[in-house]
Amino acid sequence: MRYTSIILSVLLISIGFFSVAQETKQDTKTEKFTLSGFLKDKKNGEAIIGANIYVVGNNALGATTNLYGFYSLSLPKGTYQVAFSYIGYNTQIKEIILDKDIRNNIELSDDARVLDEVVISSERKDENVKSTQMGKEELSIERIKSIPAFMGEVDIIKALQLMPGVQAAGEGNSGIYVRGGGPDQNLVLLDDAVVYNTGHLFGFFSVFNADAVKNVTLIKGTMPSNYGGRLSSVIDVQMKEGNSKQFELEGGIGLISSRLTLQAPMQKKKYADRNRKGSILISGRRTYIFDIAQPALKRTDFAGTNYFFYDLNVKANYQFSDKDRLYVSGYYGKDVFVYNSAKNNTKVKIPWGNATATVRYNHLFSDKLFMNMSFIFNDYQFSFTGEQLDFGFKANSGVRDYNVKVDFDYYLNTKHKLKIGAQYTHHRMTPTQATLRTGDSKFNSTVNKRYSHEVALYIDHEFDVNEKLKFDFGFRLSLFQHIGPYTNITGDGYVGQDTTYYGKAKPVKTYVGPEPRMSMRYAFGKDNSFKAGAGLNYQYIHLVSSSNSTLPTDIWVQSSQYVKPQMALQYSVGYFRNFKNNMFEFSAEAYFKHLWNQIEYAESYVGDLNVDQERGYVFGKGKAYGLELFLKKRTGKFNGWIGYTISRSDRKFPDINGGKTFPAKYDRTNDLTINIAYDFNKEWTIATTFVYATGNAITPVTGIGLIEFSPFFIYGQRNSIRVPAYHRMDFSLNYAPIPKRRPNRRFRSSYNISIYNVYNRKNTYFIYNKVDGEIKSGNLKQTAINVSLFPIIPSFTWNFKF
Amino acid sequence: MTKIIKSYILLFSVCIASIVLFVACEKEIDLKVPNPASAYVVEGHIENGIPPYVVLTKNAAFYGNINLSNLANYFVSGAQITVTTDDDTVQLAEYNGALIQSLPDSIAIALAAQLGINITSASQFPPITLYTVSLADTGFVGKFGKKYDLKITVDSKIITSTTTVPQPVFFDSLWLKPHPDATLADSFFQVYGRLYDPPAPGTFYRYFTKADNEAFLINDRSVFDDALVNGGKIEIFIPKGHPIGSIGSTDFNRAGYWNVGDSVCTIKLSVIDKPHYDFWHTVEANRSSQGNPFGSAVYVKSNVVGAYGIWGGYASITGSFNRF
Repeated sequence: MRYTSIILSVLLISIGFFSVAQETKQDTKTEKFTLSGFLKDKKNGEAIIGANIYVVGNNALGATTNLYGFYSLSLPKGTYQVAFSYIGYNTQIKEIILDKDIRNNIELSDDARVLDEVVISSERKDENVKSTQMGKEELSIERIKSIPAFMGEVDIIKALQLMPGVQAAGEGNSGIYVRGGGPDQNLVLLDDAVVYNTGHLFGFFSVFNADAVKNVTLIKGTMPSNYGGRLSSVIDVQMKEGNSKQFELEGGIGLISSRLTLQAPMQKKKYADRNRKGSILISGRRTYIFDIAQPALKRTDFAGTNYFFYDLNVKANYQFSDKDRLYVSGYYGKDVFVYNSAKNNTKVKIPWGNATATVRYNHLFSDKLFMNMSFIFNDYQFSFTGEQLDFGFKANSGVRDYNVKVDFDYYLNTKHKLKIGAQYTHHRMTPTQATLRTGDSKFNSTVNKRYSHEVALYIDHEFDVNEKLKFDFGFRLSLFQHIGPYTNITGDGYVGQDTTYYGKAKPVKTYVGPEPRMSMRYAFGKDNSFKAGAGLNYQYIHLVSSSNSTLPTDIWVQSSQYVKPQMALQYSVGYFRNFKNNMFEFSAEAYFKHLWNQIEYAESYVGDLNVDQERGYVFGKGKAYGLELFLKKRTGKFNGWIGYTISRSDRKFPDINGGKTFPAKYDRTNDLTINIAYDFNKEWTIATTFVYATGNAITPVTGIGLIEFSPFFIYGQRNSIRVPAYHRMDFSLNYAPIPKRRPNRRFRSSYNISIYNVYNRKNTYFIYNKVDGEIKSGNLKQTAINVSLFPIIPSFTWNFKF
Repeated sequence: MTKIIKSYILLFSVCIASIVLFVACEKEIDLKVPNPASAYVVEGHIENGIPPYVVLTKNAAFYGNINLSNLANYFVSGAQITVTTDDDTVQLAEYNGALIQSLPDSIAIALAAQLGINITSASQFPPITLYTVSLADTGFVGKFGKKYDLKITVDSKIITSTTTVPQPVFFDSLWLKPHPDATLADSFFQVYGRLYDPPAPGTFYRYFTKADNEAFLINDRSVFDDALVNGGKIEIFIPKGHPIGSIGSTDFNRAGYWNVGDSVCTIKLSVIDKPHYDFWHTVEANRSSQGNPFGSAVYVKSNVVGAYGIWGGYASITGSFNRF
């Protein structure tokens, strides 16, 4: 496998570079100049990501802004009508006389009234047809806010669940399964920092505060080679930069939480005439529903019991010159659960949460060469303290990474764009470390922290062969090394057996992963294209969960001599078509994934804090395949989408299910999502969402056996039965009044009414089995219990902004 | 240590459950579950100084309603069972409920106690079938350090297994402590024990408790190992168990505490081998998932080939103290 991929990569890259050489030869014959700059939102100065810049009348001559809003377009000397376009914004068309390199920073407006210098023309909103990228979904935060929200909490991850190929991990859960892969196979990034646990309240809410988020991109197809380390998808969340034009305060009061976001420009007066300016954003959210209950709990047995979560996002950026810009951003969020029972003499406290910090420095070496350098820290910690009279229990676990990366975007010419970069991560994984106190005795678990290096080098080459054909060749070389201090225990990993000790930073086990990626597009006419892609991915850190979704107790485990890296090879093909001047967008994508070194717990695994969790794993392979259909109406008062997926995800493990193939727990045969909005006018919008999915696969208890006159469960074939199908409809009504007397007044309110589960469907959250009674009493009874969670839940949210 | 993770999972489950159940709605559901393939369940033991015994049952469908009237149907009769050690082989004899009920009270009571059942007369013996040595072979008893092979032939099916009766270890001392909640100290007390684990790694223990003259009681977490303290001192709380076939109390303030009325406290500590430990470890985890919404499926790790269950040796020492 490894040798094949190396040969394949070398071949692909060579083809790419051969063509660059050919191009360069031809280029020398005609004089070329570069048009470059940054695209920003006129209103608040935020960089616009993924906007299109193209020559009117020749769509093949174009570029796209990167994550920082930068674009670069090299064209032969001449005069061009250049369009700057982005969904939801007015397209600007400018005449550019390109007889030298030109820097042109553009501000786009989403306000239809500002028409002075703007020409509204046919917008190039056909990115889905024109790009090589497949399986990519981009959602603007404004669109996400119009989707009916669970308990009024706008949730970007739940919005992504409405996309084809993406399934919710469970009722009300913000965990996601992408194309038959597990929740740990999604790379979730917040301003480049990995977020290890994306859920609050056991996954019912995501950690992303929508007010602080600018943009979210999901890639479920072939990943560009600047992303790696996970098999299934990338969820790239970009925080807002902060309003660099004026002070802005926005917030909201909802059913369970309140939010407040402050944005302000930063500019010293003495630099007012120069390009030295910046902005800052601070955004916070906290729940209070259980705080409200505190007075009522005070006089009960449960006094002091509480649950809350909060998030704090901070971001600042400063532009030192036209070529240098610094971004500093951070996130800190926590869940705290406190359970007190005076009657039972029990006190439990469970705090857990993520922290991330990112420092990024952008530098423009030339009009064609853009660099970003990032220093990233991320941390996830879980802890548990429980006391009951003479017994005490403490446990903690977590992950901490230090990360540095550098990325270069090199815009050779209109046909070639290169991305080159390197990344280094130092991981520290803390398994569950526990202390148990019984009376005067104390027991400490003996499992130690793990350390590792993860390195990746990548190159990505976008090549526009001609107006019809476009390629994206990529190659990523990843390296993972488990390092000391580490004590390897032989045999089954029990303490007391033979050991080998590795000193600090001493290599224990090294893996190298060549990861070739390729995607291509062939356009038929203006509105049709065919795309294909293939990519190999390695994943070196894993989270194995026995439950359906990820719980905060789940432990991330790194690759080692016992745990090989997970691998996936995905092929996909797709047909993309836009209709009616891009009003409608249609796509059909089929994918097939081979998965290797997939991980599950052994069938008889019982957690033991003295043994490394990895010794309880078993390994197998899998495959996942499916067809995704998507139809979207993008413009007009009536807009929305329908997505349908038919898919299958299987696993085969020698040590599970007697070696027979079984459906993965991420397998959902049918998945349908409908999201429709209707804008009555600028003030009133209604929206509705409907989802239908085949029920989760579960392992049934088929029988019981008797030992010591008590029953034990005998399980049937793995994941061989289904819980009832899941379906639900939500509804929302948004009202954003425009003050009639003073339409320019800055203070604006908006109101949202959401109804979750409109027809009160009792969807299965999980099923468990129980045995009541005793054989001796002759009343032994076994039953299966269906637990459904959320009935119809209306919520009301008031948002304000000024 | 097993206790740690289990109590951890349990407490965490309680916490999640309290949130989930705050809003959740539970309803019995009729799942279309396939019937399990017919299988045997072996429960056989050999202990130092005591003859081997085997209880052979059939598995039941999940929704099969087991009660006293049909209990006998699950017990298998007609099996040929032999137990072999390096120098001896014994064929076990079959005793059904009716036969045992006709035996003298003292023998029936002793047999019942072996199974953990309290009876006061032979007529109370449950309608079950068990296999143990015939009266002529009562000299065939478990010995420390010996290996015992089991062979069962039933309906032309052969079930085999091997176990050992290891070397015993016992508490160096046992002592009492009052209930930590002063308001309950008049009703309950605690028992603690200290033992010195042998130097070789991998000693596995199962313990039983007994108050006064009742049969031995078991605990929902009845096994532990020396992983943390190999060769060292282990000081542990010894919770009072509950009768076999019964459900232990879930009241945190009462479960595991001894009653002030218990005058003689007896502790039996049995050293077992690793497969035997794995069996109880997984059975207890399997049972803790019963009725636990967040419990995950744990398959019982049997040490018998051809059936579910256990053929386990116990190297036991029993000690007691009289409180009065």
